[in-house]
Amino acid sequence: MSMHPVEPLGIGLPYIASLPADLYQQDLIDFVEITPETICRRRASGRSGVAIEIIPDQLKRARDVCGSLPLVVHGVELSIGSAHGWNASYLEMLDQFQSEWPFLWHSEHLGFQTIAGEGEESRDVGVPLPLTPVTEAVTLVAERSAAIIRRYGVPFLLENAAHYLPNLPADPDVGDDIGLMNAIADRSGCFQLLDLHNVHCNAVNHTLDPFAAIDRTALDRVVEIHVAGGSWRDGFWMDAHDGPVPERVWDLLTYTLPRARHVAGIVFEVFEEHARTLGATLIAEQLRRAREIREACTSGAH
Amino acid sequence: MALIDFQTALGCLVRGDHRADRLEPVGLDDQERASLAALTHTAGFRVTVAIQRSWCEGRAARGAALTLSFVPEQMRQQLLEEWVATGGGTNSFFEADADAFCEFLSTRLDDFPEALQACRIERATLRAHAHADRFEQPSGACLDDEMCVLCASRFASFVRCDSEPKILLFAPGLRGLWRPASDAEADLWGILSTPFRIEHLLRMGHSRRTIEDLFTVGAIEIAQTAT
Repeated sequence: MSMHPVEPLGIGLPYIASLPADLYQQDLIDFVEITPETICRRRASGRSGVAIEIIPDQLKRARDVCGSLPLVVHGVELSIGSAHGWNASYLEMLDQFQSEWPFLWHSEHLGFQTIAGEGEESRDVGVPLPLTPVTEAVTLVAERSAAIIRRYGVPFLLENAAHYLPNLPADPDVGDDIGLMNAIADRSGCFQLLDLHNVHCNAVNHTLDPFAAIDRTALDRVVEIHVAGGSWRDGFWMDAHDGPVPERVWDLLTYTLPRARHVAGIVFEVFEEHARTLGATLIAEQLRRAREIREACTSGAH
Repeated sequence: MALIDFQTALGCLVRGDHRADRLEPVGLDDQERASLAALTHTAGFRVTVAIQRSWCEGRAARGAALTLSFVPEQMRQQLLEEWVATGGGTNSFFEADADAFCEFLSTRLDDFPEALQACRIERATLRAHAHADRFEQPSGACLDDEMCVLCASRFASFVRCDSEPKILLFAPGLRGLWRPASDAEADLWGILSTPFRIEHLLRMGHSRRTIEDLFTVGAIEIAQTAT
């Protein structure tokens, strides 16, 4: 019996409708990561207000392009850390998505993007914000994560966030965003999607040591890793997903993989609006580089 | 401080709903307000707000791409900033508030007739498209003169043009979502902003053919069937 929470898959790429279908070939990638919201629309609906609805044509197109590959899901709309309530319509959509196209695991971002509005209303902030490392947040997200694990019956992962806000309120027993993630994973049984570009962003922008951050991460909980590129804006290194992976992030991958025994997949992330500018050749190069590092680290481990 | 109060306060500050010295969520004491006020003076907060604005402007721009392509660049940016300042563009499904953005744009484009016309067409297309893949063509045979009360569908629109064709109908059941339309069709659709029984429409002089044509493409629909 495997000691891995999930069987190792290898190298993955997000499903991006505008990318050439040849990128989703099995010699280049081993699995595909889909953000279901990219093939959905929001619609007014009954008493609950809104529904997130899968667009059948777009689902079919996605399956035509990469339906032969193993699938994992990376959601963006749940807002699992919103204290006023999470986005139930996302979960209703995911129920349907899972019944139509089963996935091996799924993930969400550790943060919040909606706040309480008038009455029962929820207001979109327009950008994801970091969850403060406080006990109340640990309890809230751990309970929600445990409920999600029961609901879908596959591993659920939370992704560490990049953010630019200094001196957020913190409880001493939680500490910081790494302590927050570790406590939630420990209490709920969820796993972590370790985004190494986010670690890099926070290290650059908050003057931290990224390797020390990796050392403090509960690496036995890490099932998936993201690598990505970014760019400078107003003196900050942005998690912009608009370029090749920086050398420093490749270094972090090389450092992390031998220490994280349960990593099942590594995904190169790029935003759709930048994917065409980057081009298929450069994206393929990033995927090959990730594979080389993975193979070197795997062979070195034995 | 309670998590919900902190998140509400921070979210409002990033959205630009409140200034830091006028935060009103319950549960924040003076020290907590001061701490949030200090946060707003950091470069990290400013860049977070800049990201929020640029994401929101990007979503809004995608929702009204045709209209904005007719607007001079400087004014385009000004309109986007104005819309985002009212809370627009925060929804990651940009189509969700595209209709409202087009409505907002239509009130600002009096000096740009081509842009205004594009805006009407874009809005009409958005509405028809929103229902197109769920639309099932109904049969005209179910239209009972005495029993059926008809009304205009919110997914259909008529757009008047300065050149030929003079009137365009946008509806979810039309191939390509639009076709040239007649004055009689536009008149009937306009009247049906108030529901009418079919027999009443016929007495008013509207033809059965026009009623059936608009009904089968989803421009008008059954509001109720009398019992």
